[in-house]
Amino acid sequence: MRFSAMTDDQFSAQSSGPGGSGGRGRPGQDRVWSMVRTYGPDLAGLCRAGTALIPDIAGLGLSAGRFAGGPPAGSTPHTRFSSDPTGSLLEAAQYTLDEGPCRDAAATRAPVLAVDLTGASWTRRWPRFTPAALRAGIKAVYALPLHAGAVRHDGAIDLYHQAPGRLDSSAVAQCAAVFAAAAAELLTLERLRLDFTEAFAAGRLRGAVAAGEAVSGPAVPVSGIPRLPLARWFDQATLAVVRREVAALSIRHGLSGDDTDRWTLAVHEAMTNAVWHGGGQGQLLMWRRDGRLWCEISDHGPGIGHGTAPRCRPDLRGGRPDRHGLWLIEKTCTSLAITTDTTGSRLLLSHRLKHHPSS
Amino acid sequence: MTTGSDRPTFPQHLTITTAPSPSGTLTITVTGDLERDTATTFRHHLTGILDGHHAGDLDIDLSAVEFCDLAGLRLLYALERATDGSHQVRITAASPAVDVLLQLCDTPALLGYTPPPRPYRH
Repeated sequence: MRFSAMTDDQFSAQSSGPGGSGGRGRPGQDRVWSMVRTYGPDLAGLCRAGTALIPDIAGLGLSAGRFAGGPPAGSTPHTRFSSDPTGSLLEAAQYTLDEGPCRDAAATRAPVLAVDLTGASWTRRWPRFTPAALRAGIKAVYALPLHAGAVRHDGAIDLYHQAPGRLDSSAVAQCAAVFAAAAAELLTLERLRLDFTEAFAAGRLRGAVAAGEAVSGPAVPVSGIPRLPLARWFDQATLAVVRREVAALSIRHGLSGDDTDRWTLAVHEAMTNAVWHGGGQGQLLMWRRDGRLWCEISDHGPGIGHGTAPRCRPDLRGGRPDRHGLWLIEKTCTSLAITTDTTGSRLLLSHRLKHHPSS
Repeated sequence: MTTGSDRPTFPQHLTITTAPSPSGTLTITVTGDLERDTATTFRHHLTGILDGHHAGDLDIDLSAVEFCDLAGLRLLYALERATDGSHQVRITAASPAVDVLLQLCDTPALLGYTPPPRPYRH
């Protein structure tokens, strides 16, 4: 028996691991899920925290389109948050005057930094906005687009300061990028039109327990089946725990027999994709609607390329074991929708629930 | 099976129990999750069992496997390939989680085990 002589790579892909070279997202992306988990699902709650978390800012504002429920998504952006009256004025000015850093960041899909608005070039760029901002006492503005996990929202985040030059540091840029991605995720969450308040509270608790962090108060029961909608954040260490929760919840909601095994396998493959190719961690949301169970698994990795996701039957006698997840998901689910770009991937899976006669 | 001579438990939720019989057949019972993260552990443990078991057949009982993914299935295929004739390795039973994957992959038989026919197709 030469079983022991077999090489490792026949069993597990070594070329890209969790957070390894093949799955690494942009710097700081691992902090995005932590911020979403900690301050979500309420966008205002995240923004209030952002005012304190982002260094060297006097305030922040966020404008975004209201999601109208289906394409074409959104509407004209409006102010969703402002940390003070100055911020409110700054946000409103950009839409009444139809120009400014926020509008440019949204249009160009790139951050816009005005280190010192007193410079003549800024008045040339925004002839109406710049004098209005200066009158409000703002001399530095940094605007970032809302684009994360393959979803782009119309609108932007504005960070501002009364003193020129205060926003020109890598610390601000890195922290602001993480914050903008977290805000984009919460806006994406709003599109589901479900109340995730309880789910996030439970997910925060469960995440802390799974990570071995101290949780204050009495012993927290980690057994028991959670409720829908479900929100979880996972990595390699916690993937199996989340998978078991999904399986238990699916049975409770009417999946039975082989359907449960197939659905669980599909969700597992989607999470595995996030762990090994999507930056090492991801978010799982699960809900029930229209006679189906739904799961959205999202990550902030480099996106699903054509080369990494062959939709063919795996050759079980060779080849890479991690390259057939989409094939399995498509075979086992009622529907699969993939949204992917260079900011990440979202896999939306559904499984039809059989209607049982009420006997 | 009641007499486990060896019962290591892995943090990833995988238990492998071995039970020798007077006839020389060794029964290996796998409990828990057979997946990417546990496959390597499973392989190392099986290697140890096989190295110490030079004669007699091997019966593998997978009826308590709660979850199995492609990595787990590949491992069983590798075991089939590694069989050199001195042992007979059989899968004597499998759980629905294993059956579903074998059916999805249109596997007619693996190590003497044939999954039940699929109830339906999507």
